[in-house]
Amino acid sequence: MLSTKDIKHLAKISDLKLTDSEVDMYCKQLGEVLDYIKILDSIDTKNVQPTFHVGNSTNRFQSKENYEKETLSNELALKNAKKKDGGYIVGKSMLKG
Amino acid sequence: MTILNAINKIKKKELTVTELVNSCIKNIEEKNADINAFITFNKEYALKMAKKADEKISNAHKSNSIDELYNKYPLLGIPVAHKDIISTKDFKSSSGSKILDNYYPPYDATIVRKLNDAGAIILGKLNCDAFAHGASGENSDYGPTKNPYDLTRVSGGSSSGTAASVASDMTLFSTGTDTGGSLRNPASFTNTVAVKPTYGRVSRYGVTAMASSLDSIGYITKTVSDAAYIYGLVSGKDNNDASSVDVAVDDYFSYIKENLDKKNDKPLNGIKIGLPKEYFGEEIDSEILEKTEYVKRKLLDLGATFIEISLPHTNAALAVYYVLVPSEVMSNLGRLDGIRYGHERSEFGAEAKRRIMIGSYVLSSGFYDAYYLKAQKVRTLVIEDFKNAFSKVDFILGPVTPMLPPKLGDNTKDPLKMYLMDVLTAPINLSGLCALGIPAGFSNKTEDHNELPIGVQLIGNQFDEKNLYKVGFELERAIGLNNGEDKNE
Repeated sequence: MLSTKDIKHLAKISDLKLTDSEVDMYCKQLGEVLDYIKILDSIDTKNVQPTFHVGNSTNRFQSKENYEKETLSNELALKNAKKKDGGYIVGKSMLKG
Repeated sequence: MTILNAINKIKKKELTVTELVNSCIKNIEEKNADINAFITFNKEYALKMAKKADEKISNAHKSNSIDELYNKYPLLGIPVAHKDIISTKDFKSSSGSKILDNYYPPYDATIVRKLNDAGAIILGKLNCDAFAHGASGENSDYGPTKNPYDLTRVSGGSSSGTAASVASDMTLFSTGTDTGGSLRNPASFTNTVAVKPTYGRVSRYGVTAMASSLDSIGYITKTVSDAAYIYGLVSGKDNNDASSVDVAVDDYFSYIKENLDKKNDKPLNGIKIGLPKEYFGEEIDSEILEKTEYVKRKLLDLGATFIEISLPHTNAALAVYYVLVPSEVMSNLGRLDGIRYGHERSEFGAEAKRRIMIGSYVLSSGFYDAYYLKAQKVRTLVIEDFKNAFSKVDFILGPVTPMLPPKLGDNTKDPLKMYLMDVLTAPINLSGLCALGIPAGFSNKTEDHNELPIGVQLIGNQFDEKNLYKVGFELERAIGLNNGEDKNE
């Protein structure tokens, strides 16, 4: 079972703000889901390799030709940004001076 | 109206694209206020595109080149609507969420581009559980989509608007996504056909990522024939999606084209179908089990043979799913910071917050091995179950959901109960297999005197879609449920 402290910590590292009633609700609901997931503990996975991807693909990168051909213009790439300046997106300040 | 019927009529000058588009618009304007399938609807755009298509068709008729025109644009003039998590340059794409209710993508998703290139006409964008998180459509920030067969019930999810729009003749087909059952579930609730492609067969580019190692991009149609007709147009390797696979695209429609007007005796001779005993437990609604048995008898009549198989990690697969999905969701939704696009993270709905926090928890230092790595190992066992099964059979038949379409609000207070809806569908995604959701019939009358649709799923091995469509087509014909005509025609 998760404590309210656990939920508040999870919200913090997830960049989410929760009300007190949300904290209580998620305490119960997340606890139930995590209890359910425990059925995995009963399965023997000794000598079993994990599967991260069914396609078995490794390290695929965009080709330079494709990248140059299909890149968005600066104007299009920034069209949904709230604040921009001189072709750049203005982000939140991380350091308070 | 099916896609194939519409094209036939257009080719014979019995129907114009403007008439076809107008009939969809009429249904949207009459029914959407009740059903809530569309979030965005652009009538002017659709009619403008219809006029352009009619001009092309008219010119082709004059020069006797209508078949050539349809060889070049196989979906010319066919109305389509896209699930809201699929990016469309000219339409708002909110992913069913308020956090993206101001987002206009700067590009089209690959599936949208391919359908546009084939001549399809976009009617609008469809309601869904926000970010495709859900099995009932009720996690949408735009209100739930109602089931066209009973407005007090859900239409399934997460591709709720995708299914309801096709079932209520608002469009001829609709795109959607299936990460753990999100096309097969709503199709089974609405008497429609769901296409869940092999992982990597259809590009994910331009689709809001939910769980990237599971997301499959597909669509819902009225018939298997329509589904097969479209499949080759949207499949194939895409340089913009590193997980799309370079496997040759088959002619998925050839068998149907050759056999459409033929009545075959025992066309499925030699085909072996497995019935997983774990899919027929007492937790599955008895009417759904009966209909699956009925489908089995139809397939036997067609010449197929059946054997009982076992997929022993079926229940564990759902637990694997609900470790891996939140983990990938947590990572994928990390990009929503309100800076490059969309609003602040405070706009996330309850289910997105739930999944983000579960993901943060199971990936935390100290828990990673116990949850995430353990789940990936059990995933290997789930895949081995299917490998063993496919060494004995060609296809697997089973129900789609454990229950008939629930009443609105029945499962919203209990997330775990909602998650259990995916128990028969999520293992297919974990294994990257392909599947078709096929209508099997209707339930007995409910207390509200409605008969509710019931579907089954036919599961195929990776990249075995060509054979899957053959079996699906023959089965659909034998069941004889959907002749493709509107209910009010």
